[in-house]
Amino acid sequence: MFNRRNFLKIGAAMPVAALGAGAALSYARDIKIYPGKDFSPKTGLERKAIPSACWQCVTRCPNISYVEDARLVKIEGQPNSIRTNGVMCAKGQGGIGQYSDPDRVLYPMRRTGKRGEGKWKRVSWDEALSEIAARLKKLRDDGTPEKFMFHYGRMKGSHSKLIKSVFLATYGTGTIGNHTSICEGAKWVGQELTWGKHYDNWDFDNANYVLNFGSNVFEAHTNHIPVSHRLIDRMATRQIRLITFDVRLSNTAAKSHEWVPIKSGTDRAVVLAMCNVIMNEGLYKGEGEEFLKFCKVTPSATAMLAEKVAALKDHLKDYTPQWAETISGVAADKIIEIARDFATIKPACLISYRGAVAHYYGADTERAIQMLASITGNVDRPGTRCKAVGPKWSYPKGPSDKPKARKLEILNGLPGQVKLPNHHVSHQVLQMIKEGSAGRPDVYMWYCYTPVYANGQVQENIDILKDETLIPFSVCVNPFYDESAALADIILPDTPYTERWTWEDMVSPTQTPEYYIRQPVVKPLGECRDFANVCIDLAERMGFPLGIKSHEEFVRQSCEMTPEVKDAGGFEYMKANGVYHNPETKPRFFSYSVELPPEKYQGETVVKDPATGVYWDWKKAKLASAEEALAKGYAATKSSYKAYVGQEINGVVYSGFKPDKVNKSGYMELYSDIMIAKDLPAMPSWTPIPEHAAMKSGDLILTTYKAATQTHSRTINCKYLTEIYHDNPAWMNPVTAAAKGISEGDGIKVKSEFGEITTKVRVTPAVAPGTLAISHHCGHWEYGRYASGKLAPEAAGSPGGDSDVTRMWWGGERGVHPNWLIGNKADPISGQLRFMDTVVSLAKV
Amino acid sequence: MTQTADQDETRLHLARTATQRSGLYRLLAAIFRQEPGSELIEWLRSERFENLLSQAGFELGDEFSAKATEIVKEELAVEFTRLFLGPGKHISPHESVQLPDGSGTLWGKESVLVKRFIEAAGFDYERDFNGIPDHISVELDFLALLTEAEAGNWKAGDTGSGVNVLDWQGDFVARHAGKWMPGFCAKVEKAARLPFYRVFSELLKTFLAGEKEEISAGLQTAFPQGRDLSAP
Repeated sequence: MFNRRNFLKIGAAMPVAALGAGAALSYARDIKIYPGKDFSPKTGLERKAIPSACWQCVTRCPNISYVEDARLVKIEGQPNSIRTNGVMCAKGQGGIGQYSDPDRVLYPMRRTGKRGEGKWKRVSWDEALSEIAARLKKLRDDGTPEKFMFHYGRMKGSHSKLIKSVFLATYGTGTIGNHTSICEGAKWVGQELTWGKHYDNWDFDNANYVLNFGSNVFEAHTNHIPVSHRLIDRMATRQIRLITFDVRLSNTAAKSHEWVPIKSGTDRAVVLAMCNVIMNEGLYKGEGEEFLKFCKVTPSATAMLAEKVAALKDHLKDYTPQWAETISGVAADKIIEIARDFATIKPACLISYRGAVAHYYGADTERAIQMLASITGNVDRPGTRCKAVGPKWSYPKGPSDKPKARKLEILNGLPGQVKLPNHHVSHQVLQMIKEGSAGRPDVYMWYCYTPVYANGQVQENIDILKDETLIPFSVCVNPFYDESAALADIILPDTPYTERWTWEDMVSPTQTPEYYIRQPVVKPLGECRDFANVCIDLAERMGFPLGIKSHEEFVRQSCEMTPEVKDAGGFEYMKANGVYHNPETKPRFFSYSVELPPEKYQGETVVKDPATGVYWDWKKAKLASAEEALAKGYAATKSSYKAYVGQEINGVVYSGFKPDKVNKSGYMELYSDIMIAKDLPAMPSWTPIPEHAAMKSGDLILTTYKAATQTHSRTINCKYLTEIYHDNPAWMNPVTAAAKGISEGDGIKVKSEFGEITTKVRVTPAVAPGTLAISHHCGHWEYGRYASGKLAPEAAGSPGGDSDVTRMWWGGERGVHPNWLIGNKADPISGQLRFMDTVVSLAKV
Repeated sequence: MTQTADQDETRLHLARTATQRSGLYRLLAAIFRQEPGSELIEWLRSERFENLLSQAGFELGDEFSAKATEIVKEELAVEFTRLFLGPGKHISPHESVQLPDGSGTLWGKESVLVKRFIEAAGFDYERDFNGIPDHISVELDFLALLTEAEAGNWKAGDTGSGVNVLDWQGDFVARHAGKWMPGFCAKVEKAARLPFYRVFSELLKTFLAGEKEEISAGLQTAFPQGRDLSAP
C-alpha cells in the first residue's frame, strides 16, 4: 500500500548539489512581489496604477486604483502609506461599486411631480444651476444669506476648505449643518472639556495593554485600518492584551483576550469604579502621580499633588466596584482585576467609542475615560491614547472680503436641551425647521448626507423634508438616488470619489503626519461633476468669483503652498506618488509638557490669568488692553481659548493641553468649571439614563452597531459589499429569548415610542441579556438595486431582470433599519444622538 | 441586360437597402440617445412619417399627434428619465448592465469590448463624448455609420469594401447588439407608460430580428456564387 511518508523520504534523500547543474532556473534571492502593480489576467499587461484615496469611510486611506481599458477594475491599499502599510479593508476594495453602480445618477434631475412622488426629468447643468444661483443670489442680495442652509455629511480635506471655508464663507451663510452629532460628538466634547482639541490617536505600536470601552475597532472606527491592522499585528507578534467591554460580542470583542459583557450605557460606572480601585490601592503612583501635575482636579489651579489625590479619592469614594456591579452587571472582582492590570502593565492604551458614549451624558463617559487614563499616566506618551497628529496643508483662501456670516439658530438642537453643542446637534435640524421659532431656510441643500436615513425618527424626517411649507426648495448633491434624494426638488449628480480631486489630511497612527491626495482615476461618468467645481461655477454665476479655476487647480496650488509637499516635488510628485511623509520627522508625544521659552509668554500682548494660570494674548481675544483682559479674566472672555498661549504649573510655563471650543485652562481638566457653570457635574460622575431607569418588565434596550463590510449609510449600493452583508436579524440572548418564548428565526414586531419594525430573531449568547442588537446599514427602500432591490421607487419587486439582479441570490433579504425606532434625542452635554438608549418592547409575529 | 448592368443594379439595390437601414439606425439612435426635441417630435408627427410608420404596422397613437408639441416634449422628457436615466423604472440602456449573464455593472467589461470593437473597425469616440461606450445610442450610431459606409461602397462600386463592412455589421449584431437589445426592448415595452418608447422598442426589436438575415442576404447578393475565400 502506498505510504506517503515513505514517498516523501525520497525527496529528502536527493543530493541537492548533484541535481543543481543544468537547471533552467536558479532560486531567486528574493521572491519578487509587485506592490503597487497589477496585471491583467487576460492580456498579462500591466494595468495603469493611479495612486488615489478612499472615501468609503472617514478614515480615507490612501489607495492604488487600477485602470484597464479606461475602466476602473480594482482598488488596493497604498503600500507606501505609513498610515496603512498597504492594508485596505473590504469596504475600500469594494469601493469599485461606487463607480460601477448601474443605478448611479448621471445627469441633473428636476422633479416634475409632487415632492417625493418619484417623477423626474433630466435638466441641463445650466438650467439647474441657473435656478439655484437665482434663488441663492436673491437671498444674498436681500441680506438674508442665512436662509441658505447647507448640510453636509462627509466633507473633509480640500473639499471642506473649498466648499465651506471659501465658497460658503464668501457667500455669507453660517447656517451650515454637519453630522457630528450622529457620529462621535460626545467623544469630541468630552475631550474638549479635558484635554482640548478633540481626537485621540491610539498608539498600538508601543502599547503593552489595550482597554476598550465600546469601540469596534476591528470593524469600524474613524481611523479604522491605520490603527486596527497595527493592533492585530501587535497582538499576534508581541502578545499585547486587549480587553473589551461591550454589550455585544463584536468581532473586536471576539478577537480580544477577554470580552466583558456589560449592560448598555453603564461603561461610566465601571470606569469610575476602576478609578476608585486605582486611587484606593495607590496604583496611581509613578507615572500617574507625575501626570497629575498636568491635571486640574480641584477648584484651585494651584493645588498640590496631595490635594489632588485627596480630591480624587473623595470624589470616587462611593464608586466602588461593588456599586458598579449593581449598575453594570460586571462582577466587582473583574473590575478590580482589570483596573489593576490597566494601572500596572505599562504603557496601556485606553480606547473608547460609540458603545460607551452614544448615551445620555455620553460626554461625561469620555471625561471619565480621560480620568482613568490620566491617573495611570497613560496619556500622550508612547503606547497610550495620544493627541492626534495630522498634516497641515496650506491652501488658497479665496476672496479676502468675506462678509460676516449670518446664521439661523437651528443648528444646536431644540431649545434648552443641550448645554455644550460644540459640534451642533444636526440630527435635530429638521425638527428645528418644523418648530420654526428660529426661522427656516428658504433653500435647504445637502451634500454627501442622507437626513432621512442617517438620523433617528425616520418618519418625521420624511414628513418634514416632504413638506413644501416648511422647506420651500431643496437640493440634493449626490451620485446616488437614496431615500433623501427621493425627496429633493433638484438632484445634482456629484462624482463618486473615484472621479475627483482632494487633498487629504486624516490623522496618522504613527504620530507623524502623512500628506496624501485623491485624484480621478477615470473621467467623470455621464455629466457628474465634483461639487467643489459646481461651487466655483455657482459663485461665478452669483457675481462673486472665487479666483479659483477648478478643484484640481486648488489642489495643485495647495501642494505648491505647503512647504513639506513643495519640497518633496509639489503637485507632480503627489500625482505620481499619492502620499508623502518626511522620514526625518520624529513622532510627536508629550505635547503638553513642552516648556515655553520666555519670549513666547512675555510678549506685550500676553497676560497671565491669575485664576487659572493661563497665559493668553488679549489682542487675539479681541480685547483693547491688558487691563481689560485682567479685569474680565480668561474664563469669562468670549472665545478666549483662541488666544491661549501656555499654562503655568508650579512656576513653569508649559505648552499644556491647548484648549479648543471652550475656555478651559491648559490643564487636563478632570475638574471643570465649565461644567459647573452649566449646572453639570464638575468631575465625571454617574448619572442614570432616564429611559433605562423607567423600563417596564419585559422591555429591552436596543443597541446598534456596524459590520466590517459596510459604512453606516454610504456603501450599501456597492454590490460586493452587499452580497456579503445585506441582512441584519435582531440579536437576542438565549436567556432573554427563553423568557419570552422566542426561538431562532422567529418573527418579531419591535416597538419604541417612535415607531415599529418587523424583523426576525437570531438567538445568540453573543449579546448581553436584556438587549436587542440590530445593525445599521440595512432596510433601505431606495438607493438602487443592491440596497433596496428596487432600481427606482416604482420598480418594486423584480426590477426588470437585469443580469446582475438575477444573480442577487439573497433575493428579498434587505434587513431592517433600526432608526425607525430611535428617537432624535440628544446627550444633554454634547448633543450626541443617543443611539444606544432606546427602550423597546416586542411581540412575536 | 448585360452582366455589367446586372451588377450595377445589384449594387444599387444593396446601396438602397443599406441607406434605408442606416436611416433607421440613425432614427433609433436618436430616439434612445436623449429626450426628443420639438423638431424631432414634429417630424415624427408629420403625415409622411406617420404613413411610413403605419405601413410598417406601427402607430404612435392619437394623443401623440393631437397634443401640443410642448406638452408632448415634457411628457416624453419625464418618460425618458423614468425609463432610461433613473429615478424611475430605470432600464439602464447599456450593454454591460443588460447583457444576459453579463457583468451587470456600469462601465463593465462588456463596455470595453464594445469600445474595442468600434475602435478596431476604425472609428473613434468624439473627444467630448462623456457617455459610456456601450450606450444603446452609441451601438445604434455605430451600425448607422457602418451601413452608411456600406451604401457608399456599393455606390462607388467597391464590392470588397462593401462586403467587409457587411461582415463588421454581422459580427457586431451577433456579438453585441443582437444579444442584448431584444431583451432590453422587451423590458421597455412592458414598462413604458406612453406608446412612444413602446413603439420604438418594438420597432427596434423587429428590425434587429431581421438583420441577421438581411446581412446574409446582402452577402449572398454580392456573391451569388459564394465568396472566394482564396481572394486576398
